Amino acid sequence: MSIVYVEVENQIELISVVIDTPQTSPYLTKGHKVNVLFKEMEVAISTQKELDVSIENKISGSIANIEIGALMSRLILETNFGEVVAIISTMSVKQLGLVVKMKVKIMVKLNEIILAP
Amino acid sequence: MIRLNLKKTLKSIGGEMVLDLELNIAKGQFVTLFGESGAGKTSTLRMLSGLLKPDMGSITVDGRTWFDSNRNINLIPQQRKVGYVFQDYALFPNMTVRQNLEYALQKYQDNSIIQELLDFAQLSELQQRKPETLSGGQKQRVALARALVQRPEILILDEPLSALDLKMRIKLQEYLLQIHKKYKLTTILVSHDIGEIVKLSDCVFEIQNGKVIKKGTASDFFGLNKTSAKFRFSGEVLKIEKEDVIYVISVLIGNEIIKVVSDRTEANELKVGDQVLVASKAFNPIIQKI
Repeated sequence: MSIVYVEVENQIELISVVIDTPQTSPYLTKGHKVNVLFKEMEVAISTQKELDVSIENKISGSIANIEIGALMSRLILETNFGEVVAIISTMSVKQLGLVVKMKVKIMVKLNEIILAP
Repeated sequence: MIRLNLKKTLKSIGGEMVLDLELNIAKGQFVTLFGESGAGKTSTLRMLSGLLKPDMGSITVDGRTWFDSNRNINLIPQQRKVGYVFQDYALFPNMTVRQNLEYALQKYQDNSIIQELLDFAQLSELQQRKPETLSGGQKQRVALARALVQRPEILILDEPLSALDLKMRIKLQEYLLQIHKKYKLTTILVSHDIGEIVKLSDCVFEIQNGKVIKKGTASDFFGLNKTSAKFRFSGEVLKIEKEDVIYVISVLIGNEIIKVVSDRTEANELKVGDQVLVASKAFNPIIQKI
């Protein structure tokens, strides 16, 4: 098992845990390019800047678009490295009072990040 | 080991194509030839089985020469231990199932193989029927059984399942694997179905314009090993349903249907019948004893 730090667009660092090690997967070397994948449904949103929570990846962004569904809603978030789509419950959108242009923290646990060499 | 080293100028509607390829296939392997129609897959298999004569080159099987243009050796199809199954079954319509199999017997060959194959293919109860009264899957089982009558060492399957519906295809894929193992065959498949190829084959050769352009194990070949995700399968899209702001995609994996929730960015690129990779991290699934 390895914990991998991935630098994205020279700006932020994403952390992933994988079963592979540099011995089993030669791509796990410093400087090797990888794609980072995570599921839209696994993205959590917070309106608080600092949050004591065991979610390792926290990215700043702002809401570019909200599509409200009956149960779930789809948010497009602008970040320094491009757009991120988050699908969260409509309940949470209302509870947090999320609206377009609002600044938020986008959070993903490290075990949700897939690396694709 | 099968070693093919062949050159052949093929004439087609689009003009001439020079087939020039080298293939080495280890004994007991299940390999797939993959590529567009007209790339030279069927011609290669016809040359291996002796139905088409190469212009130049050689074919050796387990050290024995089947064809050598320099030494003027060219075994006739009956001397090559090859069973051939086509997409369209090619059964004799005027003969019963049993007669179709018996017709393939060689002179003086012990006919106990007929009953063995009828039993193995679960065709005993249908043995007096004519092909026209059988379903597509049953006809293909007869064609497979007939290809095995002469106890071939090499089984060639040229798109054998592409005319069948999905359910029957899955069933016959299992059956092909059973045959491959039971009769210790070296099997060469032509297929376009990625799920089928990954399920059945040890090794894939991609052929384009008469040349081998890529080879590898099935999962390496189709990029299934290219993510760190360990919980992964390949399957076929059965249904795409929009629900609220998300999409629910039903995928057939083996003979199980699973559902994957997807955002529209992925859903818009998919259509029913597409071959897909479904992957998740090894950290996510729950496991329970049943």
